[in-house]
Amino acid sequence: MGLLAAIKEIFSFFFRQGIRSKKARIFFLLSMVPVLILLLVKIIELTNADSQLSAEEIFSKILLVIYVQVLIPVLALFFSTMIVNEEVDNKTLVYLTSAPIPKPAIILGKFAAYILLSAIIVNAGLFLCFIIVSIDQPGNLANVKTFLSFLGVGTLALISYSAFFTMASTWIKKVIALGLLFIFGWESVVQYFPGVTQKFTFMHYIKSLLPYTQENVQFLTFRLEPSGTLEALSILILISVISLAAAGIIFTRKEYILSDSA
Amino acid sequence: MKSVVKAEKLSRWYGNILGISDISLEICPGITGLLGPNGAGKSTFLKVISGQLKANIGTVTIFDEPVFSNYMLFKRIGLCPEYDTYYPDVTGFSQVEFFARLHGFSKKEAGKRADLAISRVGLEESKNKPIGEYSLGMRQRIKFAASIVHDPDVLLLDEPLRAIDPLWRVKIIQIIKDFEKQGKTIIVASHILPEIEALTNAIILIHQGKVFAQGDIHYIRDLIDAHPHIISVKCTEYRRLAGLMIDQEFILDIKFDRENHKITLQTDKRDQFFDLLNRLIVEKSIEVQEITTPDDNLQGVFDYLVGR
Repeated sequence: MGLLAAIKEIFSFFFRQGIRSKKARIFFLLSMVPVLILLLVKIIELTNADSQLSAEEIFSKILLVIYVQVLIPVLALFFSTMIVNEEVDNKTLVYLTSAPIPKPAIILGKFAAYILLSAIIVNAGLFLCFIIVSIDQPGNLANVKTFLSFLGVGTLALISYSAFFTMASTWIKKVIALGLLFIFGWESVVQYFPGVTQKFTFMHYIKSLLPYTQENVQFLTFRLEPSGTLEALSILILISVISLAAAGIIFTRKEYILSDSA
Repeated sequence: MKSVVKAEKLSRWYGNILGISDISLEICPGITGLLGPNGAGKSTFLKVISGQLKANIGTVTIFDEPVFSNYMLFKRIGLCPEYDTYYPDVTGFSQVEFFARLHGFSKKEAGKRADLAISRVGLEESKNKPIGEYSLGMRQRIKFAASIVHDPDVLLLDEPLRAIDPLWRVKIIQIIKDFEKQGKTIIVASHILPEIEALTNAIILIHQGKVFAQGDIHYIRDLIDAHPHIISVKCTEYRRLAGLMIDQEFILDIKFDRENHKITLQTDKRDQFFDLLNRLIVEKSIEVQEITTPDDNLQGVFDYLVGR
């Protein structure tokens, strides 16, 4: 079977399996938490004219803090480590590696399935947030444009983080702890450094692409020196492609021992 | 007959642990039984010849083609691994159909083949249930179905009859024999001699990672029968039973376990021993509560054979 046909088969099997999984349901529920917060704020705003709370402000903070800094990287980490580690831990890898398909198809097919799954989870929450925020201003095209930009950046962020963590998990066995350290350590700390250091994080390029960041840097609570859109886009795409290619090569060459029994 | 599987000086270890060592074999079409105690190297051998692991030393070919990383060759190989592993939320049908699809069959053809394979192992009624709800025996049968769904030329089965009930054991043995009749090559690994005996006369004995003996089942049987067997019998009249047995030539040793009302006997004529025991139970009305054979697993037998 050729690479593309194999990717398609692997993708459809694991997408169907993933969408019914407990993990997907848990993440879906988690992605609804900011929606509920926003709904509550919007209700207060609409019912109380003196309210200091603004749903739009909260929406911005939710996007940046909850989605961009937490939900997207964590979701990417958990789903992408499932690509290889879950198969090795459950010893189901043998079913895939004994099939007449190129090994990279396993990585790429599962990667595509989990990207779609996590994009649905993230974007469903974002969409509901957007509906809540713009419920009293229907037809505002600027809002729609901003929302679509967020969807695009969010999805690209998912792809970049997932590709990177997929590569890491084909190489290192227990990658979750290291991944969490990377997300909440490196990615959170280094991005506050001024100068070029912050360019060594995914977060820098993701935030550089966010519409609010481009227009109003004060919106952010840290000192961002954003990269240009083209540079940020190119770097995130390049990292994704290189990471996926490396994951495919490592997975093809590496032996995964499923059992201690000889 | 031309050999299908050729292994030359095959060695594989895991860190400092030896899996298999210097195995050279040629396996022809038909059923070949790979017999050895747990940890003997049977599974490692199957993993190496199925391309799941790379040999540290030596070469392995199937149909004269190298196996490792040669994924196109996997079209002709069916592998039923030792592990009880499955995708719990997936139905039996979906899993088998998925494997058929990975072998390049169209959706319609894969569905047909999955249905056929599932019906051969008798799981038609449960095919739409998630595998997580299957019993261990059913999971073993669905795993077997997945390994035959593409009608492979070489079938590698690691403990295929484990946990399967006696009725389905007979039926699966028949399916394996049907594959043999079609001129296919089947290698079955097991640590249970009667399972292998039920399938084939051609046996390879593996012990401590090496091929210990290879040949006809009768030769192996003779080797094993020459090994003194240890049998424990638990009954309230254990002293009386020991008294009735002690003058028999084939009883080599008797040990008493007063606490558990048990005697442990050693015999070099297993069949004669059981004939006598059955006769005594009937004629002398001795009530036996339990008969166990502590070294019934192959380990004891192999240790004995290695030490000869």
